[in-house]
Amino acid sequence: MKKILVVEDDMPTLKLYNTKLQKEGFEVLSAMTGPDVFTVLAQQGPVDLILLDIMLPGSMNGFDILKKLKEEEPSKNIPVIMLTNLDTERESALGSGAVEYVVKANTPLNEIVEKVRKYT
Amino acid sequence: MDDVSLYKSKIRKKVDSLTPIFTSSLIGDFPKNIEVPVEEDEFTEIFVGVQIMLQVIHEQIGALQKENLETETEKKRLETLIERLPVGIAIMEYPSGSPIMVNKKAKEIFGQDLEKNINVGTFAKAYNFTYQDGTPYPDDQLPCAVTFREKRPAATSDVTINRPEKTPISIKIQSVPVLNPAGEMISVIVVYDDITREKEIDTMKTDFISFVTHQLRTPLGNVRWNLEMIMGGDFGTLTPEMESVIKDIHDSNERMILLVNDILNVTKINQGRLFQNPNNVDVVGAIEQVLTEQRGKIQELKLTTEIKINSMEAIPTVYMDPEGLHEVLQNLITNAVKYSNEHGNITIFVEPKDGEVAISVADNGIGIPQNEQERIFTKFYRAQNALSRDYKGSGLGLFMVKLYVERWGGKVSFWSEEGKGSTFIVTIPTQYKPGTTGEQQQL
Repeated sequence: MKKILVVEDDMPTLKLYNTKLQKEGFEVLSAMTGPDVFTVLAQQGPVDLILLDIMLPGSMNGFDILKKLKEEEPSKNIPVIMLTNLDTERESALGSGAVEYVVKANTPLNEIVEKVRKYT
Repeated sequence: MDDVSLYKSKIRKKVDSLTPIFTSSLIGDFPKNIEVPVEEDEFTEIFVGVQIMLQVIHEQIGALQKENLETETEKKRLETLIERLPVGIAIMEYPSGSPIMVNKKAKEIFGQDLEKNINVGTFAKAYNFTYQDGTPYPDDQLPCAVTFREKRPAATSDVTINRPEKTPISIKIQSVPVLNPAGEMISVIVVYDDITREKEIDTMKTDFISFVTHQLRTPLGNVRWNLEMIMGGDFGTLTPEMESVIKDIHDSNERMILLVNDILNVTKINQGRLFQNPNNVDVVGAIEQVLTEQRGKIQELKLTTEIKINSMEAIPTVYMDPEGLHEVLQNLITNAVKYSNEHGNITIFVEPKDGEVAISVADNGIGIPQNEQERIFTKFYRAQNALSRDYKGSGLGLFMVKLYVERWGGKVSFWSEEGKGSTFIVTIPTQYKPGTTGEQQQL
């Protein structure tokens, strides 16, 4: 079973990802802050894909997390899809190593599932 | 002494008594009065005449002096008024372009007096005028330069003056020609208004709208995804009635998402974020992409679409924000699709011309009623016949197209006839140059 780490601080959204991705046959791990991401990765081992929000509480936003992930082995090889409601960060997200940039409110959930399948 | 000699002597005496009066009059010193000899003779009339003449002259001098004093007082009052006006005023001489009068507020706004040898042609460069984002403001687009060139009033609210050793300020500039009675321009009055505070409030308002709409996206997106799961059968089969209700909720939610997206786009334009990721964009490729996105609706209405390229050469790319161009094309093409009748035709013409690319989107759909045509670029405005076709629209699409294109230095025009169709034409410079025609439009 492919393992997906969802980084999202909005509970209803997190619940949605969990429900949908589990129904589609993925194992879903979740984190709500930057430090959580690295704790989960340290405890659960590498994952197949990370869905990463940009605006997160605490000292690390999505870009800080992406930067740290890309600096370290083995996390640098994990594909990251940036999921956000900001539509202004596409270039910087793709330039920082994300494989996709998705504006949540403008994208059907099935399309996100397709993208998850594509990179796992 | 004989009679003749006596007469001559008498005449000389009389004339001599008049000589000092005429002599002093010659140098402008008119005696107040002359004494008319008591004894009447042939000179009496002359003396009386001179006396009346002097009185008239004195009256006229008095009136002139009074008038001069009034003019002088009026002039002083006007100068004081101009000097103390809370807006900056500069009068530029035509055709030299040199400032001939600059009031206190103008000096304050510029952070210095205006130099006589700096004329309107080099103003922006000399006084470090920029757009809000720091791009240098082109001299030829300053209102005073426009008035000098085209002899008509001009205005802009897009200038920031970067003053020596002072904080930069946002200003509104208006200029009007001053004509002589023959209708020839003799000077130009330029008004400079410090609108820094207003700009700050506008920015706060725009930022606030931007923040709220971003925040709205999360719950709206969640509603969308939950409904998609329900409609997709993730939680079991729905009865036809439930399916219909869920679809209605989904459509309403989509409408809200579209509205939020449009408001966000307008705030993006107002924040000047139009040129964030400039790139050489292939216009035809961008049009094809939008047509692909609209494929479903195009097939549903059985529309014929065609891209016609009116050029023997390759279509040049345009250097700009690809997402902005996509927004513009998407709005124009989506409108053409939405307002087409079944089996309609949509033709998109692309024509490069003099450093610009003209894109026309023509449909043979429902058209825009004549009496509503002048309002179609107004925000939130929707034509009556459009409402029956698509109730979802926000009325921000064409407003946004105009904002984008004019900020890029391009132009938008259209032709339309109710029942026959519409053609919208946008011309876009192949190299971005900030426009001055687009006044700041706020939501």
